[in-house]
Amino acid sequence: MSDDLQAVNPRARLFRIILSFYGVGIYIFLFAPIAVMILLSFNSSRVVGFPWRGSPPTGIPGCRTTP
Amino acid sequence: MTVASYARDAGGGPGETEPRRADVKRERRDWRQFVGFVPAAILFGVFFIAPLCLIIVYSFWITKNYELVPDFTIDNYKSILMTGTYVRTFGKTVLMAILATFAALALAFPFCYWLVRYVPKRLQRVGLLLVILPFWTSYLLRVYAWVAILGDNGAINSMLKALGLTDAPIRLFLYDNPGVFIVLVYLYFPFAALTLYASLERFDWRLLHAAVDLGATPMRAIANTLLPQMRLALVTAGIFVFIPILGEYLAPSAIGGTHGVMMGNLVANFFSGYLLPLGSAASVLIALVITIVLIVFRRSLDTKEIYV
Repeated sequence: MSDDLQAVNPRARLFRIILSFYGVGIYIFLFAPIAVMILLSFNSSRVVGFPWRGSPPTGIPGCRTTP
Repeated sequence: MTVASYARDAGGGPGETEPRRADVKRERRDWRQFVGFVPAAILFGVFFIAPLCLIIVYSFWITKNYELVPDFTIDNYKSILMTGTYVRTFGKTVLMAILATFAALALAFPFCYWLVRYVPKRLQRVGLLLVILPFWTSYLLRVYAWVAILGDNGAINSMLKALGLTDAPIRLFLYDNPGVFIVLVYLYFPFAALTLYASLERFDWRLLHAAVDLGATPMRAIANTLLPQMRLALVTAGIFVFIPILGEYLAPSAIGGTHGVMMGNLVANFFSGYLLPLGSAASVLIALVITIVLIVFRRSLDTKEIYV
């Protein structure tokens, strides 16, 4: 069906490419907050945010075990 | 009794006798046929009707010395509807819900169109799973994650600083209405996407093909063949998104700060200050808006008039 439409209208190919980028963009929108939180969980900074201060040697700050 | 014989008996064939008809009527009125509804009725009654009735009753009472007094008054409604701040908050909440609903639908429709038409069938389920995957994480976490993106030290500001586009953090989004809007769209996008996907998946794409064959541009074909059939799904998705946004509490509180207060925050403030009647009146007003929306869109849910 989509191939047929592309044959009728050459702009359909461009439309498809744009929509594909759009679809990927939506996934980035959906997963960006989770990815940022995962990333920041390894940040040794005391504030929730950047700049990146490196990963603490003991792993995730909140999960450190006291000896 | 077979279905055919039951139908014959119920239909009153030529050989039907009066006592037999009475038996059938009695059988139809038998209370046991409603037994199956009892669990649902109990659930609905205990968890919806009873709390709703309680809130409605509370909204007409008053508090004296932090105690509820069953004294009928409409002052709570007057207080909310005559106080400028409350009215503005109420109006802003409805406006925010409308805008976020439209945005969620506008984002979800092309996405679902792409997923259904251009993604191979075997990958569509995976694509859909990825849409609901963020739901597997905590709601609280997803909201606070946006603070880490929109905040002064967030990802956006850090990126802008790293690119040399700004020296100081831009406070355009966090602790203001645009931030609340973005987060609301983010939170409720999957509701819209799932509903629209279910409808688009069943669409007969040959109709679109036929429209293009008859000379319509692709956009016109979509507008004249696809959208009318999607009306039901669009309205349903809109209702799914609009209703929870009206009562949203956490996103306006965490992202909006003092500028992003919505009705949910007002209700929470009333209740935490033990102003139960005021909080109840605000809740009833939210429920009233939802009821009006449902009544307005009821006609759109009629599937008989798709192309009207």
